[in-house]
Amino acid sequence: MNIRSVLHILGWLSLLLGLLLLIPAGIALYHERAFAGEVPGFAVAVAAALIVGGFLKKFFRIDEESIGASEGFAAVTFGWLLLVFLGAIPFRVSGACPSMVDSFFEIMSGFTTTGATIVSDIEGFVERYPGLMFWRSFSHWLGGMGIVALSVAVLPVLGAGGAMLFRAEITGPVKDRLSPKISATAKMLWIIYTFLTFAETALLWIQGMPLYDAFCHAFGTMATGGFSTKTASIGYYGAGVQWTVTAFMFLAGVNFVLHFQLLRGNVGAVFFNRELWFYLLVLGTSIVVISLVLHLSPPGDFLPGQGADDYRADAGYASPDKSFRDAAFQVVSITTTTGYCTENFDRWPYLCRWLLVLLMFGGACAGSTGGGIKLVRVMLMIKAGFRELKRLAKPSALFNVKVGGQTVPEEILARTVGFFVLYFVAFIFCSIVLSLMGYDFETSFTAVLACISNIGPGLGGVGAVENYAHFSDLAKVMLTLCMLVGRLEIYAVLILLSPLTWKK
Amino acid sequence: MKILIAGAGSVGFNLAQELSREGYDIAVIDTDAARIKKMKDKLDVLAVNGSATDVRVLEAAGIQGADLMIAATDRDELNQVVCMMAHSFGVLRKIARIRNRSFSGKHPVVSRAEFHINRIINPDEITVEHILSLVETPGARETGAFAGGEILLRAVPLREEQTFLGMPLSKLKEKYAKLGAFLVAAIRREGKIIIPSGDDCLMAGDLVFLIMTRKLYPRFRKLMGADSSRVNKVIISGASRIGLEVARRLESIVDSLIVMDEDSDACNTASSELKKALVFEGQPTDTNVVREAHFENADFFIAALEDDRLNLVNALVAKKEGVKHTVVLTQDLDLVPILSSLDIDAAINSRLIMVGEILRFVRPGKVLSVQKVGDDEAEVIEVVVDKTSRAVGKPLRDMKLPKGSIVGAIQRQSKAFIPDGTSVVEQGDHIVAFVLPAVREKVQKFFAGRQRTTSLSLKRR
Repeated sequence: MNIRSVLHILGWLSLLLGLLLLIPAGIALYHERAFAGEVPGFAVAVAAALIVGGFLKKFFRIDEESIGASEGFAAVTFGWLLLVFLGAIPFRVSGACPSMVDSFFEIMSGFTTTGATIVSDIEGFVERYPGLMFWRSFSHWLGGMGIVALSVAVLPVLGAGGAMLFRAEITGPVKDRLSPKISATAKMLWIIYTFLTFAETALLWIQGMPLYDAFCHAFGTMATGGFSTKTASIGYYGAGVQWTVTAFMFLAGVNFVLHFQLLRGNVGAVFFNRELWFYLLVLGTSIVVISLVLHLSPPGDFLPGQGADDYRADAGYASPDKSFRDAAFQVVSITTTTGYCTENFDRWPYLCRWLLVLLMFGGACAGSTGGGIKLVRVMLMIKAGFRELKRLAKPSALFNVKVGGQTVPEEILARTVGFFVLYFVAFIFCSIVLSLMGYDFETSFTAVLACISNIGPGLGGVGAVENYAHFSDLAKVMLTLCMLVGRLEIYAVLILLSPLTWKK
Repeated sequence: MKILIAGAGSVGFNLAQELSREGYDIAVIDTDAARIKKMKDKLDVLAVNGSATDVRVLEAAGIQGADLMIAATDRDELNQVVCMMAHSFGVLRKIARIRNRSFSGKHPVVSRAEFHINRIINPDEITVEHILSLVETPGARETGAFAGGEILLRAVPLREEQTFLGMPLSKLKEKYAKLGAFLVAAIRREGKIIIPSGDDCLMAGDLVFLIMTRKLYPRFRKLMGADSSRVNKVIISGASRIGLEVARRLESIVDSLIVMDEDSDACNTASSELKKALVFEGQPTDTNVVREAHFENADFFIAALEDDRLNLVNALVAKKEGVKHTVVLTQDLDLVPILSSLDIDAAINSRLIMVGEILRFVRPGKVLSVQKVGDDEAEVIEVVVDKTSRAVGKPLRDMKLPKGSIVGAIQRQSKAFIPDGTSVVEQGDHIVAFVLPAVREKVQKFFAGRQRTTSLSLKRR
């Protein structure tokens, strides 16, 4: 492990963050009427980022040759921790968050595109802290495609090491490279991402959403984050906005390499992508089942909870149109791990809630901005499972696991199995710890799941109309780490805990 | 500029490393998954696993829009087909690594043009040339020729008995002024390369990189003392393609030539092809062979077997048995770093030479020649001064060249000379410079002016 190179890279990341922080700082400055603590908060953060960055960059030299897989993982994990630390400063200094733990939670939730919040009165917060609220949505956007990938795209310093950083941050079991130079690949992905974000902002704006809210929601959608500027989330808006957001959540959940192929006119590559088909299959089935259940269930099947007693009538599920729209929105939102809501799905009938929890595990496609296990891994696991059946039936025959006619190397399969095991170990461990702290089963199960899969809302105590403010500090710290572990896909964080990584 | 490299062996790997560092877009193709994995892990290049003659693989590597194809696999036929396919895809320049001499261009019917190859690089040929130039300069660790052979580079280790030790270089220059111009371009002392100034002194144990004109060369040999005596006896271990070719070329030059190989077929071939040479069936570790071949009288031992490790052992044995100079041929690049710590006079890595040779062709227009020195610690480059260069019309001492570089020679029209601080650079001059890798690009740009950067939009990271 070459610590010096890692620190040098952290310096660059910090400098980059310092510059990016100027954007929300500008917004805070623009809304001068706002609560006075905001501007100084950003000033401190920018200064800290620039000083730390300058210091690290100057005093530690990079040795490009030395950047291997473990340096890449270390740079990304420590880089994210550093960014979260710096990004939390405005929240704490301005007094918007009552404690450092809360500030960390909020901004980690932002960067990892989780969208879990400890803020209960969102509208009041937007009124008082417009800059901060923009910053947390903006952090979604930076973390979605990956701020390290952004640095690989715009900073020319990393050379071959950039590939390692890129690989450690971009999601999925196999990382596609679109160009000979990794910086060009990162650039293309970021350009597509930016373009889609602006497209969505424009569409929302045309439908009457103020530009500020349009940007925040576009960031939240394209990054599959979930921070909103309204307590009622997207439910605050009309059907048009809801469908727009649904469409863009869907796009954000697709592998961005496919967007790129489509742009290049390579329709075949998109059409024959098995993961995309699987994604459509999962979404389609879930939407049909849930909209039917919503529409056909008697009022008694809906659970009691906040709001009207007759939830079915209140939410308007007598109309097939509304049932379908809500089902589509919620399924896409949960599958892509965005976590926006239009209705309190915690009160939906059992089958719907159960299906949504299942979708929380799966997540979106590899190479998308979504979290979770990723559908391609689920596919690989299913195929590998059935292969064992075939092997038992014909022990002498050779069976390869194929996706789209291509044999998947055994190495990838083994790593996928490893990923599953570690994912569930982390998930189960943290859920047990939460229940030890006295939270009920539904809450502790789905809170950890919603954090490790970077979704945001879960069920019960973290349901659609709840938030994470009521957790103890210890629980918040653990959930904060869950978000990071989930966003960086387990290995990047856990490899740093392995003694072998550090042994000379 | 986009470059495709077929073959990810050590030649392909080193080329990809060098060229991607220089800012080119590189895609590499190889059938060996392990090599591809190594590429992906180590370098910022596109690495595609598959056959370089498979259209889909070529397309995946981005052959459409590629500017240059380097066919660097170890199979002649494969490289030829790769170049032909690249031609069909409209790749303008094709370089192939080809051993077969039939394509060297001397035959009236068979030519490289038929295979659409712009440049053939024969690894055996360049290796043989290299070995011969070492034999020509006994005691030299490295050799090189620039400016059409008018300027020579020699790296020689200094021993204690030499009279000029401890003298500042400026004095040294005065003392030997009557010899003609020469330049101490660099010194390797305790494993580090130093580009010396006039105040630096030479010390015993230094490896000195000298640049001189060809005219001076005979006197230089004399100056080096005992080492310059005529080469009388050479022993070559290994009747491989390279060993045999070296033997063939040396036969007319040296009095006594011995070729040895364990393989009796190879020995038979060698003895029927060579006129004068004595062929032994055996190896240098065999005491009988050593006695019969009288190693103690030999000036040179050339270890040219295909096995690196055997070559090393044989050379060490030969040295112990009293051979004056040993030359070891190696393939494995991982061995290069340890060679300097062994008692071996010169090591030749045909792959590294090959890489240098290909780079010379790849680097655009005005960079004529490149030679890597030592364990990739420095390079000698030959650049043509463009009219847009800031160097034109300036004396060398006012140029503020980057630290870690030194102008070793200038060739103007057909005349080559070693410059001093007052020499004025003109447009069209060939500059031979000794540079450390970190500043090479800068020095190149300095002399090549805008010419290079605009024509190829070469981006440095």
